[in-house]
Amino acid sequence: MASLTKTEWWFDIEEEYNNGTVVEVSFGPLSYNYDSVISVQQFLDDINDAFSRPRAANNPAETYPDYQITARTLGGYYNTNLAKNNFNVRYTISALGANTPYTVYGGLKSFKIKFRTGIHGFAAPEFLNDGPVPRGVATIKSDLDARAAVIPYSSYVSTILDNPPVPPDFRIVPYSGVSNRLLLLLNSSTGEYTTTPVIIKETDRDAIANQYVAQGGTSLAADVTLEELIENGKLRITYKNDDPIDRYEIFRTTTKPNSYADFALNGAPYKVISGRITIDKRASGAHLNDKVLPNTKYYYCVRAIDVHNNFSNPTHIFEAELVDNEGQVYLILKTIYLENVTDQKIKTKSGRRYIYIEPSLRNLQYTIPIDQAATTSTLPGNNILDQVLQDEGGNNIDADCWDKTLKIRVTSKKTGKKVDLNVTFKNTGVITP
Amino acid sequence: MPSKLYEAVNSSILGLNENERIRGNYQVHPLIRSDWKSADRLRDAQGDVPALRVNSETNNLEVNTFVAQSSGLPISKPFASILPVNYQSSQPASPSATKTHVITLSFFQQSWNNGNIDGPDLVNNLLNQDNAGTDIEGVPYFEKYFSVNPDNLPANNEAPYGLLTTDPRMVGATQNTLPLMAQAPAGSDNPILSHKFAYNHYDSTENGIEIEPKYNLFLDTSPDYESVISSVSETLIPNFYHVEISTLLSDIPGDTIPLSYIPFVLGGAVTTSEYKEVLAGSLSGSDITENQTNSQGYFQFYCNNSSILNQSYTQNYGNVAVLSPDIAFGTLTDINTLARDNRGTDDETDDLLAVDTYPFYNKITIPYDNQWDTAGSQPSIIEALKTGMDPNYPFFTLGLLVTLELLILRELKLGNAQQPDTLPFTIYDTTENNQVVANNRDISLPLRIDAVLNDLFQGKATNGNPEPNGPYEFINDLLLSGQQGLGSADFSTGATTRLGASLITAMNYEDVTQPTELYSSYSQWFNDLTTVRIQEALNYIANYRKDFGTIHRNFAIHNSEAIMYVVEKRVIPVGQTSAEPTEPVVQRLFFGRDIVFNQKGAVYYDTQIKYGVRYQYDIKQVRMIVGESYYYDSVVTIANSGTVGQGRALGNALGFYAEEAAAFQATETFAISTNLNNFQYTPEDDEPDTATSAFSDVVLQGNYVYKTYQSTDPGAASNIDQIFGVRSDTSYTLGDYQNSRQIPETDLSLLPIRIKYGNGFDGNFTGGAIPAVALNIYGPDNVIPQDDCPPPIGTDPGPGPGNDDIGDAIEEGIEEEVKTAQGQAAAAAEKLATEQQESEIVSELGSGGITTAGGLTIDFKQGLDLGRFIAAVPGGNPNAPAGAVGPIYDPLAIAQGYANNVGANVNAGLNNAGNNINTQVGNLGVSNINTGAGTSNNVGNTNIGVDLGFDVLNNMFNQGFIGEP
Repeated sequence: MASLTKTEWWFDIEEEYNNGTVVEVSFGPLSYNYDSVISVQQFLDDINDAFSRPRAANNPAETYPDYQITARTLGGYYNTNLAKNNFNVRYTISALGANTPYTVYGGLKSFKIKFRTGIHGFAAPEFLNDGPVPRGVATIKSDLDARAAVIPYSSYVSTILDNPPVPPDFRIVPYSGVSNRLLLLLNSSTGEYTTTPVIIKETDRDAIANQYVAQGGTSLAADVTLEELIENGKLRITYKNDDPIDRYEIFRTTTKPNSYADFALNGAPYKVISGRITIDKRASGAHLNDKVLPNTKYYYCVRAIDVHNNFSNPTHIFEAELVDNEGQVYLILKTIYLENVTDQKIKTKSGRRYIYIEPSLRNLQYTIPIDQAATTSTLPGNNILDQVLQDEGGNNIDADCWDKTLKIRVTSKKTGKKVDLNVTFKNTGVITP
Repeated sequence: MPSKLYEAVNSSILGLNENERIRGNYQVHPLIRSDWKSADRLRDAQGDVPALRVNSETNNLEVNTFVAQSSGLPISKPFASILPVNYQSSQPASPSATKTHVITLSFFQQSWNNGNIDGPDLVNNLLNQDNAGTDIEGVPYFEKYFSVNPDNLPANNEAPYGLLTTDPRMVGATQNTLPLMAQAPAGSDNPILSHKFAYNHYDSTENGIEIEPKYNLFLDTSPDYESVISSVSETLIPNFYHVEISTLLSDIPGDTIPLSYIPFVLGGAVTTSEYKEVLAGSLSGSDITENQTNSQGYFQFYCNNSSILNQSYTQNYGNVAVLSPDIAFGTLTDINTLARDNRGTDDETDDLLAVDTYPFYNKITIPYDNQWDTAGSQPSIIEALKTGMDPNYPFFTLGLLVTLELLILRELKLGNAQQPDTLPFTIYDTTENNQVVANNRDISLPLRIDAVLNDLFQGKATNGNPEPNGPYEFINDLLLSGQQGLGSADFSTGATTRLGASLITAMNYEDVTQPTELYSSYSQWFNDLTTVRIQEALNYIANYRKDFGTIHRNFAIHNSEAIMYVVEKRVIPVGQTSAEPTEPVVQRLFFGRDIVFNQKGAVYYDTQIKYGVRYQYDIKQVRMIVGESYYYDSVVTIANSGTVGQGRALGNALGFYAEEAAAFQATETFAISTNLNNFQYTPEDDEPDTATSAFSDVVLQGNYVYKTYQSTDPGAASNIDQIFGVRSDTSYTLGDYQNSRQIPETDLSLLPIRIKYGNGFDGNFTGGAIPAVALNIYGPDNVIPQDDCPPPIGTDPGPGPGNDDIGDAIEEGIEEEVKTAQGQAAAAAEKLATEQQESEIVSELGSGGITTAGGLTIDFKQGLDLGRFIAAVPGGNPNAPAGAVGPIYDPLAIAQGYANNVGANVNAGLNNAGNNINTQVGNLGVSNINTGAGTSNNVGNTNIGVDLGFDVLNNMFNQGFIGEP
């Protein structure tokens, strides 16, 4: 561990000028390591360097005296050439230009130097014995350290992906008199729209997620599934034909599907056809001569895939049946709509011994037509029957049990036996007074 | 309001948190430990540091910005808090100069004792316990704990020292603990850095930076464009700005397209003119003759010629930069709004923009608002520079900004093996309970701005000394390259491989023989630069330095300001969600700051990307931080009631105070021989006299007695002639300079002195300067060239009696005294001479001890450790104790020997009939005492005894046997 100790030598100078002004100024520090060896010339240079450090003049036209130190050796040759080992180094500190016409305050009259170590300033106490003992004294040197720092600000992930294509134009055409062939004609569509993506295959999930990120610039939250976002309508993707269609995926099933995912049950897709003419040339149109059995219902949907492997949403589901009626062949083609099975909710309720069935409150309420102009002052009072009931989404709920038949199944928890009650609610129109 | 306010602090300054302070590997007392975390151990011990801690409720890593001011009970600390008034700071000559600060630390006994958790009672009051109530109270524990003074350090300063396990008060300690300040880094080479700064952070919803991917169209080229670019580096993918500016230049004859805009190696498979025709093909007014090559369009051309892509392009020009002037004057905007197909209407919105003809890009938006403001109420340094340096137009500040930007480009070149220095910073979000955003993150520090300005200063100064390949030389060479003749590879066209970047800059489309506006303005700025202006700018920046007291006490947040943005583009590896900072940067984009209008941000279309590749754009702000570096230059423990901060050391070194315990200095003989006869040393308890202006200059003088160091080194000088050379001009025999050398014969760089630290109240050894070993200019053999020899003594009779005023005066004085001493008086004089020189020795020894020139101190009050003394002297001695070497040099015996010899000489001299004292006044020197004493009259001179004593002591000193106490 090298010693930290260095000299801290200062010249504290008190100047008296001819107009009586007294100025105090400090020059330094002269900082040397403990036991360091320098030459007298270096010593002089260092002192003169300290003296040369500028001080502000009140009036630029006037100047302060310049201090300078010189040295010369004296002695060593007093009438003998033997006693040469001891001599004198005379240091002379001068205030140059002390009385030139430009010197401040009418010129320097006199100056006085105090030699200081460490704490300095002409008014510094001569002895610091009053300080607490023990104590530490640290001399710190600080320097300007202005840096250009390259600091992290923010980070973005960006992927260039083109939009997935819009669903293709899909037509099913029968052959005249042919009961086992259907011609599937496909072509790219035009347009741009934003909608919820449809998942058919498991592998679709990643691609849809990537698209969502690419288009929205935000990643999927870890605690939210793709399905939840789709169900909530929050995951929407823009579809646009901004690059050529490379191929089409044709899904086919003979079981009436309840969802698009049902097409994936038997190793979807059924066929992939390309509009490629040569290896380098593409055509947007394509066709498939599909073999079918007569009198069998086939369900088709198709989606387009562009050159970047982005896939469109599927087309509508078509139900196609080539009817062969003793040689009379014709096509029955329907567009089918998927039933929303989630609406057929089965609710259960536990009970014992008695069951009391009655319309719920909202079915007993008199529905007031909503007056859009109503205000709190015109609305009825706080009568529960007068309140317009709303569902969780804030939608008004009308009565829904009248004239409907509801099946109520009572299952014994003990034996498991079941009794079905078919209940129809009738509104007699008689209002109880 | 900013969405977030971040702060960043040098990780090296982070210290122990409030819990860590009472745990860990402490010894007996929690404040005695070697495992301080912070680079500044003193601040760490005082708790004047920030620290990391884990929030027990959220489990988040947070920064406790001020350990000593943590909520709850006050922490235990060793020293009383340092108040602002305790920082005695110097006023530097200029705002940018080094500042010196002196602080005093006193023991905080109550706090220390409160912190004694499970240590013995002995550790209470530890720093204040020894010799309580006396002047040496606190010795040595304060010193052992804080800092051991140099004189008390072990040999070679080697550990162990400090608080040792063997110390009775350290019972239970298992490890030695160095003093606090000995653990800290020391010296200017290893300063402690302080750059704590704050900055606002806006996200994209608050007018923040945005990156928007945009897919325009599918390029149906053969080979497929996307396939082609998938196998080349990003820097070689067509750049929208390069292509569009090149296209605008393509219709102009000559090599008008800067090389930095051409990713191909032209000249072989494709000539430059063919390349230009391809570009010109998209210009509606072009008069080129269409052919299959130039009509295919740029992208098809690109795909066809990917084999001639320039593989050295990445390193030469791979980055892209838009410097501040081009941001301010809308170069980017001009290109961004370039129409490929003007529909002919006044409505420009129906035009097909050039950028929309590019297949895809990422649009980078760095808005002006919010991205360049200072944090909180901090002032703008840039505005201060503009106001101070450029009252009317920010010419200087703009030039300075460009300088910094060019230097940063150089430092951040792609493929540059010498990457800029980094420093670890810890960044935390003050708006989120100081939650850590980045812990110990290496921050690149490509420039030290004050060093840049200082180097420019050196470059512009007469006889300046700029750093080789430093900022000045780099800029100068850069501009010189532009004067070579407007070549397409010159800085004058915006292209130079020195920067490793292509500059998107405004071209002079009207006259391509002229350099760019950027070059013209900047070279003008550089040529006009003066040292005065540079110093002025440095001062403006330095005016924003924080008060050191606030820095040291952990209150300072340094002023800082954004000057540039850098966008680092990285490829996210397959299977990862983000790219680590260690992933290579494929390209950097630089954007300067509009300081002219204070309104233009940057919108940049980055077309140099690949389809489907996930890129991470790391936006980085280049921030100018007006920080501080500091180091403990000197640390002293004051354990008794001595003095500090006041001393005569400098006065000693300059000869204003008489040498302590050296009576010979006051002798008339010596005074005359060294021209001191009219000089009065300042009394030791006083200050030098006031120097009064008698004439034009006011003068003070000091006289330092230089006693040539008598070294055993054969190459060492033993007298003044061997130091400076034999005196050839002996004309100084009278007046103030009698018996002296001419100045031209006195090269003071040959005269060495050894600096002694201390206050100097007890002579030069306790603070001042002492002679050091000087080299004999004639070498070890001391062969003096004949030419150097002065006239032999006697051939130059000198003024002689009656003509030598001083000599005559001395002679007369001696004669007068001789007359008064005869007979028994002569015997008395002999006795007096002996007694007096002995008394001088006794006086010297009685003052405390003797220090040999070899550094051995002998304390006569405690007794002489002869073994040590023997061992310290080379040569060996058969009678020495085991292990000792060297002859027995008993200083007392030697002193006695000298005294006896003197006495013998005096006796001999008494019997010596030879007497030349009347004719050889100069031989009054003590070496000739034999002859001098040969005259019976002479022994009556009481000065003889004094001189004898001087001779004895001087010889002892010169032999290295004694020194000053």
